Amino acid sequence: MNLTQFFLLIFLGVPTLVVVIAIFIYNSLVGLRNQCRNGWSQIDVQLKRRHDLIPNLIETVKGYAEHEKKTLEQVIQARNAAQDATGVKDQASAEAGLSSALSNIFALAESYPELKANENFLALQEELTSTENRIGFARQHYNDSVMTYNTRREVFPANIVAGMFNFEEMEFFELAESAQRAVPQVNFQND
Amino acid sequence: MWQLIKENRRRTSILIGLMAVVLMTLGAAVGYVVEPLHGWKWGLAGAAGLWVTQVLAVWFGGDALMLASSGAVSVGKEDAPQLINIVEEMAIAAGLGQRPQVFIIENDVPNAFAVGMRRDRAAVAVTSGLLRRLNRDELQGVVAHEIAHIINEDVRFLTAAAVMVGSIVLISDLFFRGLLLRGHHHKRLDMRGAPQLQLLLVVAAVALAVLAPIAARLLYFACSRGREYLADATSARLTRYPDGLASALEKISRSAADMRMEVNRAVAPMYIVNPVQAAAHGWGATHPPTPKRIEILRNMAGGAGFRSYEKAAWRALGKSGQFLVGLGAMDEGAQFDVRAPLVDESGGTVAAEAMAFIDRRASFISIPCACGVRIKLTESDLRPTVVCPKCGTNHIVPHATDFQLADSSGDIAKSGDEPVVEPPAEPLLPNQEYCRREAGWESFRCRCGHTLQLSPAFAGSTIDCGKCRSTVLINNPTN
Repeated sequence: MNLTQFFLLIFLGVPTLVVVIAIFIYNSLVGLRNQCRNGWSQIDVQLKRRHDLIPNLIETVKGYAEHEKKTLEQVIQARNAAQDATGVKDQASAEAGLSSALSNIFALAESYPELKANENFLALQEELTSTENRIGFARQHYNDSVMTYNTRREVFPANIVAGMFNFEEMEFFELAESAQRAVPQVNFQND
Repeated sequence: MWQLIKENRRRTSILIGLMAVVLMTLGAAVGYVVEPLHGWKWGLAGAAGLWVTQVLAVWFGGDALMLASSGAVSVGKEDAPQLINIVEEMAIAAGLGQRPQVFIIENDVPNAFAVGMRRDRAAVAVTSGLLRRLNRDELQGVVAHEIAHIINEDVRFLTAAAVMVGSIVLISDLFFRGLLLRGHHHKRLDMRGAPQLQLLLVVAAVALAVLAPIAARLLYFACSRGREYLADATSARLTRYPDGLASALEKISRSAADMRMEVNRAVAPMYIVNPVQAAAHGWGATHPPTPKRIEILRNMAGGAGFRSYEKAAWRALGKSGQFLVGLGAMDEGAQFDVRAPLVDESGGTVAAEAMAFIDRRASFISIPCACGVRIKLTESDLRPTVVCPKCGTNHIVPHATDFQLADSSGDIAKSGDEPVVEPPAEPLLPNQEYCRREAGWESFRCRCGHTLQLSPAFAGSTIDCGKCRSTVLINNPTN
């Protein structure tokens, strides 16, 4: 091998290697970003599922607990607010509000034995409890994916590729602390 | 997560390749012994053919075969909503695009397994004994363990390997039969080639046929053991609640000690706790000792991530925990805290739903009594009335009545004497009728003795008996 060949090899080989590595990094970043987006859409699906279940719940509860209009209205308001919310932060706090409004309904059911024995109500309660769990797990999966993605895009040498192709940092889906911790208010009014 | 899957994939291909070599050699040996001149070629071709068919069969039908051999029946959302919800929740936690199908095995031994060559075509099977014993947190832990097997692609590995082991065993079995056959034709074939060399080759072939199945099994066991720890670790991270799985494993191993589950040996390693060799240790065991698995899960010190699992495993296993090195790195430095236990208000509804499902499949008639007891009647039990064993109330077994003779004597099942229902003006008139009593699942007897089931979602006006083909008009008192 003479000197010309050697330099040719260096000049062609090194850039090719760099490009190949960059392609790999780019693809893995795309894969991770898609995982985050899928995770987000899964949260969306579950939130929508919860919104859809609420009218049914209101209909069922209404028949048994007519005097609890206030609690029912709160749930409807919280649902509408959650449906209208946009952006990760707003949506998170609106959904947390809806969660606490819903827990009020289930607390209320304690004082209506007939409602508690209603099969329809029990089925809805299970569905809403499960939806609540699903939202939690979908959020967990999304946050785990976001964390992996965010870490990966900050680490050298992926950060160079991330900078070049505009891989933006993703936001975590955090429930607003105050709303999440709010103790469900039990209504002890006599009627 | 990704490294784990890559590593599994690599091991799967190595194992399959290795076993293929053993299989081919064995095939050639069998052929040689049967027909020394050209037989080895046929043997080789036969072994290759067997291998290809087996791999294809596993790829396309392995799951169905395994589920069928264990007597698992598919459960839908309508049949057992809570169980389906638990599986759905865990599928979401794992980021699995689609919920695995759910199956119930009617067996009182608590156990569970997962099958599925592809993530989007997987299934989870649980025994009725498991559902009866575990609460929601524990069940969640077990389901998460099974889903971990699916996302870690252990299922693919185990199924592929199990089939390999199976075909090697089959070939060596064939070999001994071939030897027998050759003994039969001994006089004709004896004098071909050099006798000493031939004898040597036969001895080598016999040794191979004896050793190959053992070697294949050991290889298989060694690979499957580490996967159980990984699935436990993944379950802890998915549920963020290692104590759930720990207490489930305690309950499972406690009853596995008293009860034996009849399962096919080949599929035994796929269960969460090996049903055949619950107490086996050492290198013949497919599963790590359950007490160790529980000890690790109980000592994760408030963490739910891989790093906490790795640390606890080092404490519990010492040097033999070496295969877990690097597990903690998959947390990528993040902190995973344990969540609070779920409030299980349902109080065993999961089990009740599953039991009701099994009863329906067995064509039981289920009669709810006011005292809370559900009386069950088999299809062959044709008593018209039944007494509640608890409170002594006499119940009429719900049954369809003749449509024309609406006032048949002693007919209380048609309670409340519904106003006359106009017979639908259809050419095919229903010749029986039945009045619904409940909103949920309901069962009643057809005139021919067959049990008919009405689901909560039943919205039609007639139902056909599967046995005598007659049509029953369903009166719905609520509308």
